[in-house]
Amino acid sequence: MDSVIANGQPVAAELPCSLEKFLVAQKLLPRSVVVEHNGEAVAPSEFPQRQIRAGDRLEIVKIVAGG
Amino acid sequence: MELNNEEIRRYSRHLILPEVGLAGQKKIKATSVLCIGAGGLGSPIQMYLAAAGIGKIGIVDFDTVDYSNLQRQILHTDADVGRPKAESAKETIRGINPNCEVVIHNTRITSENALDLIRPYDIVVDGTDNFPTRYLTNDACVLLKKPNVYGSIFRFDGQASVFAPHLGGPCYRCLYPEPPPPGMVPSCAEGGVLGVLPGIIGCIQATEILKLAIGKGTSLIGRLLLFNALDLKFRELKLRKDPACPICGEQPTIKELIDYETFCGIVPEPENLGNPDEVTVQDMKKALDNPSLNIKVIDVREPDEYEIAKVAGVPLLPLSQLNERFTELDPNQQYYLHCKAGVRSLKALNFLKQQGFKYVKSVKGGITAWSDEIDRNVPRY
Repeated sequence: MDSVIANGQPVAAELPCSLEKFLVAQKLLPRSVVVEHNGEAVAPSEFPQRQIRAGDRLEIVKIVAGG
Repeated sequence: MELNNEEIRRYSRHLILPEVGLAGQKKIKATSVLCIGAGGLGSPIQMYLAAAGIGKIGIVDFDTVDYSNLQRQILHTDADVGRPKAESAKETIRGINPNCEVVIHNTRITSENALDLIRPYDIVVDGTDNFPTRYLTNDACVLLKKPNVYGSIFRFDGQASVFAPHLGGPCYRCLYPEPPPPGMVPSCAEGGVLGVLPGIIGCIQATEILKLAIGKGTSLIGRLLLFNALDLKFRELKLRKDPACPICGEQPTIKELIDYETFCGIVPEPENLGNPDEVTVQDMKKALDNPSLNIKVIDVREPDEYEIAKVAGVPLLPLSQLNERFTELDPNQQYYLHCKAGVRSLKALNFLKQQGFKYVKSVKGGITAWSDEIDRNVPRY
C-alpha cells in the first residue's frame, strides 16, 4: 500500500484519496484537526476536495482545550 | 498618556529597547486587556502583562482556587485555596505593579454578557479550559473586531496563535469549525498537564499581546505555534482564513452569539430526575458492605490512577482495556462501575450495554465523590 508522511512518520493509506477520507481512515475528526499539506495551509472546507498522493507530506494537529 | 518618574525607573529595561522606547511603553500603558480565565494560562499572562506595564487588565473567572490548581496556577498561593480566583489574581497583580488597573468579573462569561464584557477592552486573551467558552470567546471577538490571543494546553503539548479576521487572519472557527463530540477530547482534569506547560504557552500569549500593543514584530496571525515539552520542540503550521467560515467567511451564517453549551453538545442534566444509569456513592458503599446483594464494584480508571487512590476491595479493569477484557465479566452479573468523576464509567457502561450486559450502573461523581462523601482518607487528585 502507498504511504504519505504524516508528522514525519510514514502512514499507509489507499492513495490517491481526499484529505477528508484520509483523516477519517486515521480515526481523526476532520473538523477538529488543523492540516498543512506539502507545506501549504488547508482550510477545513477544502478537505473533501483536496487530493493527497503517495509521498505527500502532511502536518496534522489535534484540537486541545485545556487552559 | 505620560509616565511618571517611578514608572520611568520601573520600565527602564523596556525604555532602552529601541523597539519599545518611551513611545512603546506609553502604548503599553494605554492598552487594556481582558483575560478570560485566571488559571494555568491566565497566571503568567496576567503577571507578565502587569509587570510590563499594561494599563488595565480585566479578569473573568467564576471559579474558586482548589489545591489541585496550585501545581501550575502561580497567580494563587496556598493561602488562597477556597477564594474566588478573580480576587486572588487581582491581589497578586496589584502586588507586582500597583500602577495596573485591575477590573474583576467574578462571573461566568455567557452569550448574554460576553459582548458587554469584551467591548471596553483593546485585546482579549483566551485562557479558558473548555470548548463552549473558546467558541464563545472567538465569536464575540470576531463580532466586535477584537484580536483574540489564543493558547491551549494538554499534557505536554501546547498551541498558540492570534486570531484577528479584521486584521486579515483566520479565526478559531477557520481552524476548528465545529467542536468535537463531548468526551472525545479529554480535559487537563482528566488527562493531566505538566505544571510549567501553561507557563510557556501563557508567556507566548503575553508576548503577542505586548507586540500588538506596541505594533512591532511579526505576530502569530496566520500561524499556529506548537510546543511539545517532552521533546522540547517547537513547530509551526501555516493557517488560512476559511472562505466558508461560518462567522468570518464570505457568507457568514453566525451573526450573533448562540447557545454554546448546546453547540458543543453539552446537555444540561435535569437536577432531580437523575440518570437511570447512575447510582450514588452511598449505593456503592451499600454494595461493598453487603456482599449478599451480589453487586460487584469495578474501577475503570487507569493503573496509574489506581496507585494514587483506590477504594478497598474494588478491583481494577481499565476502560482502555475493556475492549479486550470484557469477556472476563459475566453479562448477567450486576456491576457498579466507578472512575474518577463519573464520565469514563458512563462510557464503560455504554460499551458493556452494547455487549449485552443487562445490569450495569455507573457511580455518579466517581472516587472524587467517594472521597468527599464517604471516606476522606481516600485522596482526591
